[in-house]
Parts: sequence; C-alpha cells; structure tokens
Amino acid sequence: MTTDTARAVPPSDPASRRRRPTAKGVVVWTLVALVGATCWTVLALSRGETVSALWILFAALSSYAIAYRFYSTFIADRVLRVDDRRATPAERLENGRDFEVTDRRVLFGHHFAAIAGAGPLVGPVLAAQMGYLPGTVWIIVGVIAAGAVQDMVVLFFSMRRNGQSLGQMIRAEIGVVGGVAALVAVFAIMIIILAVLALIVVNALAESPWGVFSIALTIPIALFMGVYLRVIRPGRVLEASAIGVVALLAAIIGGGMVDGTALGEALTLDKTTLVIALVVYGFVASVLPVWLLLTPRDYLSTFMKIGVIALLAVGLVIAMPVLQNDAVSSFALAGTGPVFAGSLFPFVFITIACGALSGFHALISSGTTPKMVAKESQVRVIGYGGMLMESFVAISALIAACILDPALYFSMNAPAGATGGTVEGASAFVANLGFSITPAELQAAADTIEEATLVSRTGGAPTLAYGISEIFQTAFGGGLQAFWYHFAIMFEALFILTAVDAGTRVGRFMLQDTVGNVWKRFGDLTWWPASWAASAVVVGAWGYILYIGVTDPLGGINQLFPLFGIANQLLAAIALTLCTTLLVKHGRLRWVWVTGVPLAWVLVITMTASFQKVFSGDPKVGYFAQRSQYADALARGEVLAPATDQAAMAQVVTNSTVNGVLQSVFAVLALVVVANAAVVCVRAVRAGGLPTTEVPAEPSRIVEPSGFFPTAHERELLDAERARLAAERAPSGQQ
Amino acid sequence: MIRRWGAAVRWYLRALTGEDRYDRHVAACAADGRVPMTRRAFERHRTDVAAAHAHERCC
Repeated sequence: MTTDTARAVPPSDPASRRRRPTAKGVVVWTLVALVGATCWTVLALSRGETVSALWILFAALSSYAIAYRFYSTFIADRVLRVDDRRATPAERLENGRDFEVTDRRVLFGHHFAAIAGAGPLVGPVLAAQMGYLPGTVWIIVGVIAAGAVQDMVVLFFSMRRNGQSLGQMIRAEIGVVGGVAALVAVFAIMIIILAVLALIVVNALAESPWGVFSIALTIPIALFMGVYLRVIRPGRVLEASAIGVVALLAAIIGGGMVDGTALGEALTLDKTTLVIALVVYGFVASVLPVWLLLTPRDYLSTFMKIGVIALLAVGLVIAMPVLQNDAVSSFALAGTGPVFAGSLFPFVFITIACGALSGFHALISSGTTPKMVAKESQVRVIGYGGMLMESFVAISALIAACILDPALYFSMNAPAGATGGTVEGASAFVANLGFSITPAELQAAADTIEEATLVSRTGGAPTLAYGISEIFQTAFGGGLQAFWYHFAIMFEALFILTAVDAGTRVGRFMLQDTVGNVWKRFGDLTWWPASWAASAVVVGAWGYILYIGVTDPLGGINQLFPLFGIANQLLAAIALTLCTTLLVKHGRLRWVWVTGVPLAWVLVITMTASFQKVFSGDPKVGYFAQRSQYADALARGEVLAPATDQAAMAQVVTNSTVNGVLQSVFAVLALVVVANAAVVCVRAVRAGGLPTTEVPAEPSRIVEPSGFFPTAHERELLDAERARLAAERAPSGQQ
Repeated sequence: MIRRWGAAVRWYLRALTGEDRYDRHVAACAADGRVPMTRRAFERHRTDVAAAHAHERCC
C-alpha cells in the first residue's frame, strides 16, 4: 500500500475524511435509526393484526441508509483502503471503448441496469409462501451484510487488476484448478439462469393473447428503433426511446382489443409453442447485429425499469396497502408448501437470491464496470449503492405479493398438477391448505384483469403483476387494473428477453473464447460459422432445460427454481471465496470476516440445500428420491399423480435425473474452488501475506467526488486538490 | 427551478444512453484542432465497437 505519508493530506485519505461528527449529522442519523428501530419493532411484534406494508418499506429504507452511511464507508476505508490518489484503470488505460472515465452517477445507472432484471421481482414473490417476515429479514440483512459487500469488494479487486473478469482473477489468485472449475461453473450456471428466466416468460404468456401480442410487438418496435438510430437519425437515442416507449404503451393498450378476435385466437399459444418461439428468437437475436435488436431493446428495458420502480415506490406510499398473509406461515417449518418444497432454512435463502445476494453480479462487477470507475472511492456508491437499489426492488416485489389474499396467491402459484387447472380444483386445493376462496371469486379476479384464468399461473410474474395492478389501481384509480396487469407482465417479459438476448451472446462469447484456445479460428467473433455454431449450442442448452421445465408434470417452477437459486448462490460462494482469499493474501486478516462471514453463511445454505436436493429421502425435496419413486412405480406399471400416463411418468424420471445431476455438479464445482482457495489461504497466513496480481499504483490526475452529492467539506478538499494538480501541471506545461 | 431540474434530467439521460458521446467527440476534436467525424460515421463506428463486446445483463 501507499507509504507516502509525508505528502500533504489529499482528499481521499481516510483520516482527513473521518472528522468529528456535526450536531446536525448526529440528529439526522439518530432519527433515521429511530425510524428503523420502530419499523422493525412493529414488524417483530405484530401477530394476527393488520400490518401496513409501509412498515416493511421504511424498515428497509432506514436500514439501507444506515448501512450505506456507516458499514460501506468502513469497508471502503478500513478493509479495502480505497485510495483516490491512485489512478483507476479507466484513467490509466482510457481508450474510449471499454476503458473510459465515467461520471459516477451515469456509471451507477449503467451498473444498476446491468445487475437488476427480473430476478429480484420473482424470488421474493415465490418466497412469500413462507410469510412476509422471513423474506423481509433476509432481503434486508442479506443485502447489507452479504450481497452489497460482495458486489463492492469484487468491483474493487477487479478495478485494482485492470478490470479482470471473475474467472481470470480466480485463475491468477487461487489457481488453475479453481480457475477451470469456476469457468465451467459460470457457464453452466448461466445456462440454468437463462432457462429459468425464459420459463417465467413462457408461464406468463401461455394462453394469454394480450400478453403475447404486446410482447411480440416489442420486436418490431426495437427493430424500428435500431434502424432509426443507425440510418434515419443516427445517435438520437432519446428521440428513438420516446417513440419506442409510446409505441410500447400503444402495444399494451392494443393488446386489450385482440382478445376474442381471430388474431387473438391465433396468439393464444400453448407453452410448447412458446418454447420454440423463444429458442428461435434467442438464436436470431444472438447472431443479428447488436444495433438492430439488442441495443434498442436495452434502451427500452432500461427506461421501463427506471419508470416502473419509481412508479411502484410512489404507488406503495399512496396506496398504503395492508399485508394479507401471516408473518410466518405454517409452511415455513413444515416445508410442505405448494410453491416450492422444503422448509424455511435453507430454502428462503435460496429462493431469494437477487435482491439479497446474487453471485451473477460478480460477473458484472468484474469485467465491465471496473473499467469505467473514475475514482477508487466510488466503488462504494456503485457497488454497494447499486445493490441496495436492487434490494429495494426486491422489497417492493415482496410487498406486492404479500398484499394479495393468500387464497388467491396459492391458487395462482400451486402447480397445475395440484389444482387441476380449474377454478373449482383450485378452490378445493386451497381449502385443504386452510384458506377459502370460491370458484366464482377466482373467476372474478381473472376477469378484472381480462385474463382467461389465474389458476396455476406459476413463475411469480403473474402474481407480481396482479399485486402491482392492485397497488396502482388503489393508488391512481381509473379502472385500469387490466392495463396495469399487462403493463407489469410486459416490463417483466422485456427485462427477461433482454437478459436472454444478452446472456446468450455472453455465453456464445465465452464458448468461442474457450474453444478458441485450441482451435484459433473458432474464437474469431466475426467468423459466422463459429458464431452460429456457438449460438446454437448455447440456445440449445438453455432451450433443453426450458423444455424440461415446461413439460414437467410436477410443475417446472417448483422443480427448477431451487436449482436456479442454488446455482446463483454457489456463484456468490465462488466470488466471496475469491474476495476472502484476496483479503488474506493482502494481509488483512483482521478484516477477513467482512467477506468470510457471508461466505460461511452462503456455503452453509447452499450446501445444506444441495445436500437435501441430492440426498433427501423425501421425494418432494430430493431429486433422486423422486426419481426412484417414479422409476419404481413405472417399473410396476403404476401411474403416480400428478402424472397422468406412462409418458409423463417417464418424463418425471428423466427430469429429476437431469436436475439431480446438475445440482451435484454445481455443488462439486463450488467446493473445488473453495478447497483450492483454502490451500492458498493457509499458505498466505503462514507467510503473513502473499504477492497478488494487483497493478502497481500510479498517481491520479483527476478529481471527482466519491458519493452522489459531495459534502461541503468534500468540496473544499476537492477544490484544494484541483488547485494542487493545476499548479503541478502548469510548470511542466511550459517546458 | 423546474428548468434546472429538466436540464439535469436531460443531461443524465443523454449521458446514460450515450447520446452525448458525439458532442464530446466534437469538443475533443475542437480542442485538439482535428476534424470531427460525421455523426453518422461516428455512431456507426461506436455501435460496431460495441458489437465486439459482450453485453452483460443479469437476472
């Protein structure tokens, strides 16, 4: 680290930033703490009475504020020792392409748009089966202690290594074995994530002509924007986006009119047809030039993302909805919930990944974002702050699910095998769970949003959309509930399709890069046979798992979502392993708990969950127990519900085998990385630290504030630093 | 006040979407005394560069 203590104290030096607290600061932060403590107390003590959703909202906001102000500052100054006197790779290597000094607020927007998609919207909705409290606690505590820490620390370490990717860092800092395991794990996990995201879209669009119509129109809208930006008026992104957003809203309104027409009938698609459509779309999107489809689609998705999040926050405050489900439901301990099997521990922590702790973020925090950071201290606002924002999205989604009548919630989220797919079946099924809703009420709920049915619309997206439509209806009125429902479905599908496009391309690049090591020509991104072949492999892989999910008689979401969550958390375990190893190698043993404790926690939850999914004797939880149950029955010529024939039985056997094998492979890969890292850590502790691949410090010549809003004190220091740099530059400029 | 906020929002959105890149290119060229590219050529070059990079989007 920098030993240059003789120099005048520059603005980034932690000692100069840490100053006596002002009276105003003490009062404000005491108030924030009191609000937070009050909200948490209400949430902890309220049982069997009506609880407003705003308690959750404000518990979250005040906790985020305190964690950001104090904990993230502590990590930046004491644990990572960010140093604004060091030039970032964006400054040293600026090339106008990937390395580019970017305004912190703009980079925050880029980073947030890259990390937040449909994940934080879906996981909390499914986890609402356990009640509102487990999800709330995990989302808030998880993000503060684990998720935001991971994003910020990975961003910092990658920034100190010229923006190396997670895989490169693991290879260089842990070893080749860990590096290869991590590479395979990243690729496989990405395939699972794409498949599950696509499954959510399929479930949301199946038998919904309104949804299919408006989503299908996003393709020509994006194509038009692409041509507009390339040919008609190059670079006028705001114009093109405004046209796109208006067209998008028109597409949602137009969708309401196709129902009952011949077009509407043609667009009433079953799940298998939608799978084929998505696979073809994914392939085409991956090989088309990015300017034509991917870039404009991404603009639309980003604007919708910002707009909806802002609207939802406003809507919640105006509507002030009341939570309808229990704080902790009876399924939390029994583990017999219909949405996903397994008890609260570990499955709440698996189901809610994005929003609390998401390993996938480590891929974005290494690679793209670190090459654009202007000053080292900004990793706090971008890494930690960006993840807090995603967590806020997750909390909003959780609220939207918890304000629904539990009877409706379970009717929508129980697999078709349980409800029979009919309102009568659903009504009888939820009565067994101890809730009551009549078939007529279920039908009426579907009618308000102009959908044929709400029964067994699994996947989370329809439930969230219904919750949002209720909130907006209460907040803004106007009898527009059907519009709001399809608006919400549209933006979820838009996020997911953007992630599917982009993910397929990333997978294609990874594959071409890896094969390119042995067959050079295949690595050429512009050689079409290679890019088509690689795209086909990636699309084929996620398409196959998607197909498995869609045709699963037991319900694809409750079979595959745990796999998705565990995969994402295992990636987090890998990323946190890297962070912890680096802290050890840098000799920061004293602070190793900052990433070590989240790592231990995520290993406990993922390994417990993996163990149960692989070895549990309960066929509802364990994939292999399920496999033998169905294989044995099949051998005896029996048919077990919810399968209806021999083919469905055989399908269950295949699916549970595939899921079980994938699950085992992921867990083993993560353990290989951890074991490899443990060896390195022991060596580093014995040696009192080890050299790392950190790039040597070079002095920085730019001055930027660290946070969103520079404080008055910071402004003074910045002005002084600017003057110093100008003075330094002036004499050398004359020579 | 409203005008100031409007200008701030416009600045932010232009920066976020990269619409301001061309203006910055023109400014940089003016400072160095170079002739800037046409907007069409500039944007085409920019999107072609972007195509060679993976574009990561999370779940």
